[in-house]
Amino acid sequence: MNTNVVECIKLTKHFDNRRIVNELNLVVEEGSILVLLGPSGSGKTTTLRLIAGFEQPDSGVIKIAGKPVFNRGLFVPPEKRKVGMVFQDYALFPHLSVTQNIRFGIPRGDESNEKVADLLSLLHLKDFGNRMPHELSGGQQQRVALGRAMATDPQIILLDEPFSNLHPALRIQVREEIRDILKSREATAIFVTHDQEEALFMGDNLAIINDGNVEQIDVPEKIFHHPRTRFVASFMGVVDFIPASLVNGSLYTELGSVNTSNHIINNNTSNRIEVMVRPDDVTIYPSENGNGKISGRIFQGGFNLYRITLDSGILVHSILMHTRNYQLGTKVKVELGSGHPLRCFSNGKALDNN
Amino acid sequence: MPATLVALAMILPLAYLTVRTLGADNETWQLLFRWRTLAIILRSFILVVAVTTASIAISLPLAWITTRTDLPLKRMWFIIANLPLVIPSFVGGLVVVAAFGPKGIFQQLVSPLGIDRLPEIYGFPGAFLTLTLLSYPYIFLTLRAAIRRLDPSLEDASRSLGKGRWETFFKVIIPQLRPAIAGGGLLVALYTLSDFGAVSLLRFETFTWAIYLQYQTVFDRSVAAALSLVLVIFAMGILLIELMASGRAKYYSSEAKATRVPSIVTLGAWKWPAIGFCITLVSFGLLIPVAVLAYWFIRGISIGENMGISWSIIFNSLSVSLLAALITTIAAIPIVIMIVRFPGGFSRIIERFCYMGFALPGIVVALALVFFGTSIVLPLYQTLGMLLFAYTILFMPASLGAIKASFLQVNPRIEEAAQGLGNGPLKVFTSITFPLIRSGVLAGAALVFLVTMKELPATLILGPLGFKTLATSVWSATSEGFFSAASVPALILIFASFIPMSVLMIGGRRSWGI
Repeated sequence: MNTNVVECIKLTKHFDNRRIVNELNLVVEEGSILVLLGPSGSGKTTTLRLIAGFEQPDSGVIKIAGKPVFNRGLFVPPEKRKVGMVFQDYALFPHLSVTQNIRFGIPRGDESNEKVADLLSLLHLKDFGNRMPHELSGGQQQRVALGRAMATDPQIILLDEPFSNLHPALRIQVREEIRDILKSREATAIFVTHDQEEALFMGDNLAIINDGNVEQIDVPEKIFHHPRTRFVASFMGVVDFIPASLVNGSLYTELGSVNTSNHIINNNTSNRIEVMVRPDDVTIYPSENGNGKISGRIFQGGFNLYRITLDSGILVHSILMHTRNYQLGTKVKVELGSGHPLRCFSNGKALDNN
Repeated sequence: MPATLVALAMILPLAYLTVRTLGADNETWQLLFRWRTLAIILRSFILVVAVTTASIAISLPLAWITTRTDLPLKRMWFIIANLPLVIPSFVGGLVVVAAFGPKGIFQQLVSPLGIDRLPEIYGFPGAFLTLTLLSYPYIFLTLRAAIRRLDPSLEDASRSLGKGRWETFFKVIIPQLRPAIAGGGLLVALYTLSDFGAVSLLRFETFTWAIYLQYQTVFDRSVAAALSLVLVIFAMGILLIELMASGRAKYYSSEAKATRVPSIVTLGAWKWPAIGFCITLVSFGLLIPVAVLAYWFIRGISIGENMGISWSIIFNSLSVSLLAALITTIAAIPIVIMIVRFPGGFSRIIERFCYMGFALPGIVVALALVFFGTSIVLPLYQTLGMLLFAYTILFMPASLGAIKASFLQVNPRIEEAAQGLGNGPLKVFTSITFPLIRSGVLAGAALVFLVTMKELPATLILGPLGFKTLATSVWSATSEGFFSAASVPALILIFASFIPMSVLMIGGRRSWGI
């Protein structure tokens, strides 16, 4: 276990003098799903295409199952890499039936029929083998695309925003199916998305990509609660940053002293510190002499997400039960009421690295 | 209502031809069922298959290297490769005869070396060579468009499934291109089948040439009519084959079109053969024809030959083409409104009727109108009106295609909005719809103008006595071996075709039967 199926070292790729992938490093462990998450244009898809062999890197090393497939002077073409790819637009061969699509990559042999039948039943497509791609729903096309990629027993399956063409309601159902199928085969996969909710659902590990580089690679819980950079923090859900300063060994913001780890207080050298607060860390009470004012409300069904403008002009968010309804403009007292130490950042980097 | 009238007018000649043929006496049928007819069918069949196959063989690599490789000057090759479209087939025939025939340039060149006879150019070789070089752009254009529409992720998918470049090309790309090959092949096959100019000048007796000979030499024209009907059935057969070849898979890529640019193949050492291939084609399709014509032109001037070109011929050509463009466009507009705004079974039938001219060879339409004219509307026989009627039937599809394409882009809600603001239907059409479709209407008219200039068989048969156009001048001068006299109208025709052709090419419009 825990051998690395894919390894990228200092991978760099330019298009028209623009650096799309910039000295990127990542590893994927056997049997795990790694999600590449980042804003559009951050280089996720290009990274995937470099690993698949559709593009040639400018420099760096790519290893698949321990063997280099790209290195200085070495470029293994895509057909020799044993990589399965699921495309954003499915890319099913329109002139071939479902069965023929899945069989496409399998060398002709005695087992090929069995294998296709096996996959069809795994993908719940038993009765659809003779259909043409355009006769299938989006979700079914998606499963055929996955089946086709799995049919060659690839070392790794690459999925490039596979759900982005699906209707939102269908998307949640399909992603569960796809994850179950991948997990039932203990497949190793890299999954590209820009949807953080999807990333948290699909990934055993997440790699947050920004400007062609991995900002952080970790399990989803760590990414969400212990972001290493301000970028990662702000990319994962609603988050606010409040300026803080050290006074007499304690960290103070305009909302009072902050619960944080001693490590920060003892080792900090910077005086420009920001505290990261999520909406569930902030509590508010209506109060005439409060330190903020409600400036927005987003009704989320079971909850109300309030936006509060502090006296200093800084914005924070607070999530409350739907029963607590306040008018816009209500004066409120804002408190940081989390039961855990809050993360602090300086110059965009987290001050403790746990 | 006007649309229905136009549609009925479009099928009138064919209907009359059918009735007339079926009512023919036994003798005619006996004349039809002879070995000579079978030979005509065989020759036509072989020519169609050979020209279509050769055109595909030329177009596929050409379309591929001009889109997906790092061939230098790709755009230039693309434009030049389409230029044979401006050369009418009878000019092609003239060039081949004037270059390779017994009195041609090459014979003159090799005579001093003691070679008395070049290999025979008349018959199949000349017809095959001429028609292939003139018609391959039909397939080239459709193929190139299809290659550009290919979804590059299909190729990526095939590669990652373990297939190399060549296997991917044959297993994934070629099947995607099948409808384009079938569609372009249909155009080439119909072009070849209905061609009169090249086969008549090169004396290869296919349907059209046989029908013309029969019409000219025999007083009873029933056999010509019967042959025409067989030719029409042949053309319908080609349409049917195309329908079947399109296959059962629906070829479309998903709506969310990937904007990825397909990878460009580096030619490497293949670059030189590729360039050589392009240069060869350009030489045969354009340089040699123009050079041969220029040679005979200069020779004609230098020996003071009477070139026999008069302003009246040019005027005739221009004026009938202009009139044909005008009439066809006016007739096409109500049809397009009917097809696009009032879809349904009835308008589909009307549309079919109007596309008839697409599959009808010019000689058939001309002959049908001759019968129609001599037996029913005698006053119209051998008048300009009859000729213009033939042009309208023949070139209606070209006009319809262009106008329909632009009309489809007019959102009907815009018209409704104008109606909601209190304008009547006529006012809506003149103030809203027409300005929006104007470019399509103009393109259609330019197309009809162009093809009318190049039309030969209908003009030969239906033109009033003594009515000469550029096309008929080239043809008759060539038939009589006066290459210098033929070169002048031929050069004028090529030159005149350049202008509307470049307008169409720059406008990026593709339509039926340029």
